[in-house]
Amino acid sequence: MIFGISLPALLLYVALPVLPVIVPLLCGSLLLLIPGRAGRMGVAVVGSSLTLLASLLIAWATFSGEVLVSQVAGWPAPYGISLVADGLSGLMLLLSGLITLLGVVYLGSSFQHAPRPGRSPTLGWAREAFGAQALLQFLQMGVNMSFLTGDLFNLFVAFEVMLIASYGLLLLGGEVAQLREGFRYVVMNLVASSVFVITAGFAYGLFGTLNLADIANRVAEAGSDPRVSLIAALLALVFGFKAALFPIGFWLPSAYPAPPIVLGAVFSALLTKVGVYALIRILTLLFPGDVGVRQVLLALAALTMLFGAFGMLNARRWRHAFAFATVASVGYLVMGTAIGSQAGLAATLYYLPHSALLMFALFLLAGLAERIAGMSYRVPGHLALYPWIGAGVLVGVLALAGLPPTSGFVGKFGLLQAVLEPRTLPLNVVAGAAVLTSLLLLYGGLELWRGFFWGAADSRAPVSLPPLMRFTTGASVVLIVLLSVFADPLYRLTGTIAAQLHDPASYIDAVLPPPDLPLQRPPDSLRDAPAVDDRGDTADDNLDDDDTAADDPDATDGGLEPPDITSPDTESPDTESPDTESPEVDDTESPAPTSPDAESPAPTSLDTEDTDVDDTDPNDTADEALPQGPQ
Amino acid sequence: MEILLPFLAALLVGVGVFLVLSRTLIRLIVGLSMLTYGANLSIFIAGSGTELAAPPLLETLGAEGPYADPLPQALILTAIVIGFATTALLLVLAVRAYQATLTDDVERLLERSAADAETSPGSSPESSLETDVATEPR
Repeated sequence: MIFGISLPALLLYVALPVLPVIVPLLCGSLLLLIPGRAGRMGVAVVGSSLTLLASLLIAWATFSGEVLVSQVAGWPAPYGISLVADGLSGLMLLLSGLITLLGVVYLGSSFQHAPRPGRSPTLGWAREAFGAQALLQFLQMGVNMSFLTGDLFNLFVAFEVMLIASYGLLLLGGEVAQLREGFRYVVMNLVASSVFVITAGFAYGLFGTLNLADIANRVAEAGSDPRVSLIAALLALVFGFKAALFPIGFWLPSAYPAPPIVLGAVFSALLTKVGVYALIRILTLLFPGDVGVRQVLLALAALTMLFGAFGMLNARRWRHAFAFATVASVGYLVMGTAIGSQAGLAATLYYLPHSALLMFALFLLAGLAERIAGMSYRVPGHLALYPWIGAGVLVGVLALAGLPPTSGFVGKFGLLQAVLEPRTLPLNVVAGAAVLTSLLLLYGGLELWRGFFWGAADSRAPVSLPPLMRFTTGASVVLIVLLSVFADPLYRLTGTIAAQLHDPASYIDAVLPPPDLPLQRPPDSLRDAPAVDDRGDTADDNLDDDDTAADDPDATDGGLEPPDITSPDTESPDTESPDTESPEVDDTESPAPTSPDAESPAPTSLDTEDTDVDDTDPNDTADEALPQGPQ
Repeated sequence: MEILLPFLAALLVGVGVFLVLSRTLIRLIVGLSMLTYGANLSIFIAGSGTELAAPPLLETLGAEGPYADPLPQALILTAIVIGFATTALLLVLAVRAYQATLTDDVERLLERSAADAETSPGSSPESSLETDVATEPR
């Protein structure tokens, strides 16, 4: 992959895609053990900053067109789980890192009211003590894992990690309304997960692999098989559910307002975008030629936009209005994804961070407004007391509608251009729905702004807002403004990412070894152990630390490898890649066939060089060994 | 024998859907479990009933004799564990919901939330941490 760089740098480079998953996991686990709230806040902020740093490094590496691949535990690509970071993943990771960090700060500041003596602790206090911060870290772990994984079943696992954390966050506090909405949310998501599992099973039965890059190759070979279209439709159904597309997204507007507002903000900014990300990934990588699914998605996108906009007009409260606005923005994103042209993709990728940051900022602003005057926005006359909040909401509303100086305009302009380009009647209707939605959003947003800020000011004393809360909200509004200030470089960046996505070969080639070249590892100059030994090591490591990236399927795979195979690798030079597997089986299994996961590799192996290899980080050596194979 | 498995999976999913659509909380949860079982069984069928029934590595290793493909079983194991956790969560949630609302009727549970949302606009029953803290006397 890269040459002329020192070994630690190389290790960091190949281990980089693992970090955004590992760091939140460790941080969340640590948070469960820390008793004090100040300590929890500190650890959460440090952990989120580290995750953001790792995401920044990945983004910096991938925005130049590079695809970082990390094979978990060193299993080669079609058999193990690959963590893949391309430009799209880098963008999404950056977004998730930023939003989680802001969310962590806001969460810490909003729970800063200590219970008074003789009074029961406030809800916020109780929530924080029962692990809201830790759950937020686990949520980020699941989100980042879904952005990085290159394996269909691992994507399911990542979704489940994310969803279980979100169940916890949604239900924490145990109020009646939360229980009701939480029940609906959990049941709906369980049904969707079942569909996802069934689809993954079908995909394995049809393609014989779960690796996304490998599936992409098989789909290209299969041509127009109706079974492939069925799998595409089922996957689109599942991801459309996560993204809250029109007929199956009705759970969102009632679920996201239920938890405390900052959690609703994180859900609204990240969870729906995970669904959109997965849709972009499967439509560009797996099924670039599937027209039927795209057409259905386009129609549903138009309906989703209108549903969100009309819902927002009807909403009476801050958080309900913005939950519906989230639905509308999902409609725009799915529309740009389903168009399938490179220009549409570029516009979608610009609109995606805009939409995530905007929803986050709007929810936080709603949190401030609710703190001032309660849930309803029809409490006039707050502009004189809170001019900055008024300005922030106005910026947010204009960006939501997509008026010219804001980033919403840039994104929507690009989207509409892409939709109108083929000049067909159905697409023109979809574009009309998008424009109508923008008008409705403008009306709804201004109505909301007018209802709260305009009018005669009464003589209420201003409510004091915690400074950290104001700071986070301000920062998220500033981020939206920056999106429009730096619209040109950002749009060019999303253009290159879209070009990369439009040509899935770069992704596939980075993940899979070239088919004509068997995965033969060259004699390694870095250490004196033969290649055979550290293959055996990776099998052990795989079984030891399988919780690091939830790669149980593969761990079991490694353990179940047939123990009585004695043929060496010389026998099969003609097949694709796995011939380096056989010496490993030979080596570890024959001395101790029943316990491949024994604690120390030394007694199970006949070679003494094993211990040398063990000195370095096992994961990294395994990862680092792989990219050298094809060269 | 193997021909029965797809029908069994279909039966499980059908029973699951039927129970999920019923109005009692506990039937709903049992239905979700059935749905999960059907999903797991269909992975099992997908991994064993096709021409790809052998483990992907075997042929390249030159192994003889029938081996079951271990991967679907590993997938099912993962799915079972996840389903177990979510079912446990759902059961706790159902008990809490019953204790809080004194009904196990899904319809009434959800209706009442709509009624609550309409009747009390100011001090809402919805969990708003912010309003809760804000209304606290300082």
